[in-house]
Amino acid sequence: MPVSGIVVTCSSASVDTVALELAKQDGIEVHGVLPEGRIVAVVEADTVDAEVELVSGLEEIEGVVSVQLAYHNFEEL
Amino acid sequence: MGDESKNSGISRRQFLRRSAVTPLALALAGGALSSVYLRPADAGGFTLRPPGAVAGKRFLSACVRCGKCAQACPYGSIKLAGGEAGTGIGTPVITPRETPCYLCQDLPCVKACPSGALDNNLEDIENVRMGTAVIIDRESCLSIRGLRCEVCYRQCPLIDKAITLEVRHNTRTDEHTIMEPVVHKEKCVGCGICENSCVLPKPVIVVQRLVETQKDGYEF
Amino acid sequence: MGLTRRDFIKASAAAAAFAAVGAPMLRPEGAEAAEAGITWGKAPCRYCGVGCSVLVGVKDGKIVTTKGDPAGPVNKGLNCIKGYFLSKALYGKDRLTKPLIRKGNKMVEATWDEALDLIASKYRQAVSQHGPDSVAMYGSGQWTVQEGYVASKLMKGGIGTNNLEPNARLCMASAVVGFMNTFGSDEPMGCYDDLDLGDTYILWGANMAEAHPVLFSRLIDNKLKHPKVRLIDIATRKTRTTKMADEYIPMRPHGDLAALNGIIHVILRDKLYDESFIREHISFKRGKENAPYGLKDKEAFNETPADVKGLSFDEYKQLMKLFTPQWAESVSGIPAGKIEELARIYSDKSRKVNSLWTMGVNQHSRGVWVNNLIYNLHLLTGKICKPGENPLSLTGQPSACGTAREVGTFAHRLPADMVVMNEAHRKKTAGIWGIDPGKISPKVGLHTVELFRAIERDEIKCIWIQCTNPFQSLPNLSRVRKAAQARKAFIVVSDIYPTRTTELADVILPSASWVEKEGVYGNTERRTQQWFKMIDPPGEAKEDTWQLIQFARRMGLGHLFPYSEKGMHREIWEEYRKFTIGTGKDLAPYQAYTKVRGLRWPIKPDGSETRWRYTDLDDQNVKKGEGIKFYKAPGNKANVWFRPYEPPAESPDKAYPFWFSTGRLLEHWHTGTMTGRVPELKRAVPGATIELHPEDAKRLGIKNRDLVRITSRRGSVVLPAEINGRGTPEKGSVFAAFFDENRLINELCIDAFDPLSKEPDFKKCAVKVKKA
Repeated sequence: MPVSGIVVTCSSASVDTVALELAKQDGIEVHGVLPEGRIVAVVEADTVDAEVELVSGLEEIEGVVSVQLAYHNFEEL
Repeated sequence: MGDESKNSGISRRQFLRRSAVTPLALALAGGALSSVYLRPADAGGFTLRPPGAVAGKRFLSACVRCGKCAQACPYGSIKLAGGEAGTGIGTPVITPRETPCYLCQDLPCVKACPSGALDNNLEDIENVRMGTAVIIDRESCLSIRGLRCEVCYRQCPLIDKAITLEVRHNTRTDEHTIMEPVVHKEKCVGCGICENSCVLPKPVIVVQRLVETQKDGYEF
Repeated sequence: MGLTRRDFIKASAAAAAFAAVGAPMLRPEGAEAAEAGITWGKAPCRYCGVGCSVLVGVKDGKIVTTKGDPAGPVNKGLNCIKGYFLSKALYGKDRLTKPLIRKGNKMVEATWDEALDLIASKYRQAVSQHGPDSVAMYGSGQWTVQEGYVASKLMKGGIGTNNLEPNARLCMASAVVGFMNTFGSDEPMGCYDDLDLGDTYILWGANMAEAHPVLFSRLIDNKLKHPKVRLIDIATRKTRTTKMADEYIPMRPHGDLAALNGIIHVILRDKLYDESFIREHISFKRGKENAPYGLKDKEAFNETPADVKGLSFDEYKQLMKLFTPQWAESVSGIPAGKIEELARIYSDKSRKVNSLWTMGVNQHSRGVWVNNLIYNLHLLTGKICKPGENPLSLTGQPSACGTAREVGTFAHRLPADMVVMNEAHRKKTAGIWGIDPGKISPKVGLHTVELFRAIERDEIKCIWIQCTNPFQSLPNLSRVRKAAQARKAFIVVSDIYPTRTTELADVILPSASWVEKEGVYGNTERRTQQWFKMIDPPGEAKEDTWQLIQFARRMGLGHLFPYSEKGMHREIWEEYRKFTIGTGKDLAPYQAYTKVRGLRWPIKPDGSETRWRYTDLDDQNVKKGEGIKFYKAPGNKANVWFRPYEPPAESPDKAYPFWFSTGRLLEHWHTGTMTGRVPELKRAVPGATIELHPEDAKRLGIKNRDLVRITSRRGSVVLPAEINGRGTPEKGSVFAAFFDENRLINELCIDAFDPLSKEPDFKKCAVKVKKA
């Protein structure tokens, strides 16, 4: 059950809408919105593949510039 | 007590009168240290004596606690037991985890012994039987768990004689080999180099009392 | 606390993400609680070229434990004891934590600015007064890909010199040249799966049991599962590998060059070759012979296209008539009957034959030739590019492949198999680096042995050594150390502990190690493995990439490294990756590596890995139906080289009657700077010994543990004897490992090197031995 910490960079205009969009998704918890359009979130999924799919999908969200992986826990929980 | 004095050839009274203070003092001084590093309880109360030591109780009477074997040892492996050894105070002891016996081929300790507590007839260091190494914790042994360790085997001065490796398939990974160190008691001299080199915090291979051979008719 | 473990992990993940953007104030709830538990991250092991995967357990900003990664395909949760104690390797008491600048005989603490300003001023001065080739950098097969890439771009694209060398010159260079001149591309066509799938394994001078521990475990398991499997150990010394082999074939040092030719002779004589394979896939070549040994300074020897003659198969067969099994026996010591038998094994159609080798073949004054000859065996018989049947060149260091070779941190190389001498390659490189192609020098730089000799001649004014210990590991060591001690060159050393190299530095820089920085390594089987930074380095230590970029800025070259502070490692990777696209060495986007326990290149369009190169079975650069295709070689034909026998640089004689060889053992890594500081490993093997054959020992009156003096024409060392231990040299040979910083073994070694690879021969020199 992998857990990741991610940083989503958005255009400053869309940061709030993106944050809302993220919060709606299963397996994503928004932990903070920072100046310069950056959102810190935690992603959980059942498998690494599911997690990869989830995170890749985020880059499709309108207003998202990039998604950066900052932390990944590999422990079997 | 009287009988023992006869066997040792020097009476206890004579010893106490004649012997220099030094070995005893050394022993008492060493006592504080040696009690910290005393053999673990699971050694079954076994004391590792220098090469050529005559057996058990005979040793305690034969040994005159002169300390010459300890002085002769070039590695400082032989220490004199302290107060915690009771009647064994001042007798030579090897604590492998500190310093094992390095099997000097010219047997300086044996040659130094004046009383025959270390048998002067001993000529070949490989014939020594100080004790038998035993793996006391197979569950912790890294080699048995499948990791590449086997340090005790590679460092054994009688590699492939006293310790060999038995290999078997690792059923957990299905792709690797378990290389288990196996001690052969008739070849093991009990030097304790294996115990000293074990990489785990508490060594899983330790020198204990001699394991006796027992044979039956099966020849495989 | 009321928080579950999962909550701890999530809080920690968020905390890491906040930290990544430099916003420590916004700590989510429970982050402190998260620190109370251990969190795990993946990494490849810091040590050998096997590339086991490990999980690193971090708590309160410190590595508290590591374990073999059960999900790692290489090792499935296993490690050797070096890997077992990874958690201790970074925590020796004398970790370097501050920059130090030499003032007379003392090293004085300084700030990073002071140190970097000084280094830059020295380099600038040297370059302006003596030109860019008066400065150099010596890096490592233990550098991360990012570190090697930045170093290469800095030196070649920025300063404009090719005086950049890795310590891999001392380990894999012969293998590299062998790959390049045979297949036109570096690195193996097979992978570790071949160890599971084959049935015949011939080791050429490789003590796999101790040098590639977990891989050896995997090989032996194949043997246990399949009674048909045969392991043959051809070596100059009996080792723990010998013990588990089916057969030991003792060979005289340097005898591989003769034995291999003898085997090929038999294969040709008895028509044991695969005729159609040869017709389709092979060209025959003859190169330059009567090569020197590099013992004269600046001795130039190259095998240019003009030096190479194409041969017909018949011409090749005619030339090979010389090397009869009887002749091979007289030179190698391997009986003629055994040479014949090996020829039959290599051509046995019912067997899947693999050859395995490392330093016995590579650290050899004709190492490239031996690599070529081993490939000849597989090419002539068609036993190559098949699952379970390949020649596999084993790599020594964790990223000699990933960094030194693939990034090309050599005096003649550029990334992705390109070379500085080729104009098109320079142009492509300049394009990706965003520089004028004219900036990259077409002049090959100084290779390692020559580089350190140039210091002696005062031609190198500045050298920066990172992540390696040349003043313990170079051959003819006293000469090298003396040159450094003359204090003519300005020597900068980046390392994590004081070593025999830092002790000769003008500036010492404290480096981050392993998981104290983000990075990527590439192992023997082309498996690229990535890891995230998991802990901070101690004190003021900084990762080598940072050091190089800070230096670059002071050299006016900062524009070459426009990477963001937080995304630097990924950005470097994505830039580097461009070199590999479409070359058959394709690498994946960075994100792909963060998720898995490595991927073997070339990466296919669908993102999956390739196990076997050059075959339509797996390599997508080969179309279905094409079978085997050496698409990187000119004309798609691999080269079978005619390589004759030429003797070693120095052989035993009356004055120095013994062979001396050096190498590794399981418990210690290389020069022992890390493993020597792990108390358990130090306890296991406290110091180096000299191994002698028992009969030699008896003759010399040497008993086990007696002190022995070993002397060569270059130096002398005293070591305790080890007789009938883990290794027994053949009569007339002695062996000592080089991990002991108190016993500089390499003072004995000769700085003769292979003329094509420039790799020194650490395995053969002449010594005298007597009781000390």
